[in-house]
Amino acid sequence: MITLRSSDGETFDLDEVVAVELQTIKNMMEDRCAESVIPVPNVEGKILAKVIEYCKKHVKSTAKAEEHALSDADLKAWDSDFIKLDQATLFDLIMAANYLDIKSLLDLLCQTVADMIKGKSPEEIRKIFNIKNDFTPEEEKEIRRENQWAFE
Amino acid sequence: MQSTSKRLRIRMRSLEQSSTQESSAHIIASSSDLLSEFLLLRLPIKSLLKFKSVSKRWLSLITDPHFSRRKNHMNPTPAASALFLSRPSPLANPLFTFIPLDPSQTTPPFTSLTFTDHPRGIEILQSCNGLFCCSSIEYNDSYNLKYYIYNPTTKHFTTLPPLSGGVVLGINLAFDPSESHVYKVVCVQSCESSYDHVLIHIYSSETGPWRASGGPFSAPASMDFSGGVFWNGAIHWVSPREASLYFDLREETVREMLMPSLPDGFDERVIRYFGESLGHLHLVEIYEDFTSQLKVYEMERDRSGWFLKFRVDLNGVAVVFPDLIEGYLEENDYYHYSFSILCVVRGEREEDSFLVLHIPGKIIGYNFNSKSYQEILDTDCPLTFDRSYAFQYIESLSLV
Repeated sequence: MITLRSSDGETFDLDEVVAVELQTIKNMMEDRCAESVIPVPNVEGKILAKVIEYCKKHVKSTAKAEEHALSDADLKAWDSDFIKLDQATLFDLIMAANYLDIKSLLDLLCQTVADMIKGKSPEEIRKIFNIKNDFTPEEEKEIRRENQWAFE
Repeated sequence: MQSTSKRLRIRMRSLEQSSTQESSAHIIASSSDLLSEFLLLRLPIKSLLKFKSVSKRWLSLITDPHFSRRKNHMNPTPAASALFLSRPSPLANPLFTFIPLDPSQTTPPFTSLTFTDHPRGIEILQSCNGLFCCSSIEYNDSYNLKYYIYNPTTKHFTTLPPLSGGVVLGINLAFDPSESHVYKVVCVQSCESSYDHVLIHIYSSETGPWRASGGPFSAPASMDFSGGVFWNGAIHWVSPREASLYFDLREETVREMLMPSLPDGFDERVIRYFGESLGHLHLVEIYEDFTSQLKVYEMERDRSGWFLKFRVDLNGVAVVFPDLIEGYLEENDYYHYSFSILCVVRGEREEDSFLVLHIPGKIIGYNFNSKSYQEILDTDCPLTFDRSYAFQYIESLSLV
């Protein structure tokens, strides 16, 4: 049993088989520098809870035990439900999945966010990422003109 | 992959320590690595073109050569998502009919080529893995033709250096982004000193100016050097009467290309389609006027010969599209069909491969496996048997 502690002090108990889904934690365990409670200083409790929920589901799916194994279709459906979250939470999850090195979760989250933003306008993109428009009006006009067909 | 994400994690940790109040979204956008890795590389090209105008940093990231190479690596051999059909107009810039092959293609990138000014306009000579080779149109002055390499997705172009020497018989583009971001242009010119010999010059986007490759070689008189197809590292040219050839760009040698034997009674090839798709080279020849079977041949990877890949029953197509029928020979119960093969498009999965046919008034798609049809477009573009009037469009950020 491994215990993780979030940045805001929440603790989570994990079976080892789940803990190894988080590559960062797995490396710590292998290096034998895992204490009884592993601090995860970059990740808030509510985000860490979500990460662990994903890992628990995905471990069960690769388990040999037939009764817990989910079909690929069921797992995909579960994933689709899992990502129904607000944008801010999705971005926080991306940072957490990257820090904890969970490739399948990171791919799922990044593709979800990419699909959410691909149809947006440049102005909407600036709002989401809090980016300042540093083009002059003439410069922006020229770039838009060159790529006008992509806006239609 | 592990070392990359470790690097990203370390960088992230230092970012987080300095900006605990900022949203995760802003942190990601502030780091070029994270932004590219997490989001930009996963966006469709059309979205990337829109997002060039988000900020100077996003513009710089999206137009960066390294980024375009990484994007290409993610999908090394994309299939054509559309075709451009050339409609020459004698007094003006040729117009291009846009034929979408994919639901994502809702707007044509252009209807005529205006990236640079020429009184009689610009035409496409060849399309190769996302880039076009184009030339200006001149009527009396073929020595002053200007040649361009153009990316129809980004609208960027480069002008090829002028050519000197004999008459230009053909200009061919060799570009394979899955192998290299460098493209080469192969120019075949008639040899000034010997009337039946030709000479090859090569231009490279990396090393620049035209340089001669090998010496003059004897070329078949009927060879059309302007209709080259780039496949498997070489430019291939078909000749109706004599030997067909290919020029291997790695070894810079000219070799004979094996062709299927001519049927009895024919001394000239009738080639109705010769083109490449998704790393396969296809050939369609039709010898009888009243043929009911269209056979698509594919070349073996080692160039040892051709094999029959697809078969299309034209009688079946005619039942659905009677406009295909031009004539009927009652005594033999033969139909004469009128059509032009625009493209053999291979799918990532075999069963998604299809044929794009131009029949009077329509462009249709025919799936080889399911034998189902799709009307793509109504068009009043006239049918022609000129092989080079349909050009594949492949979205690409590749630099010219």
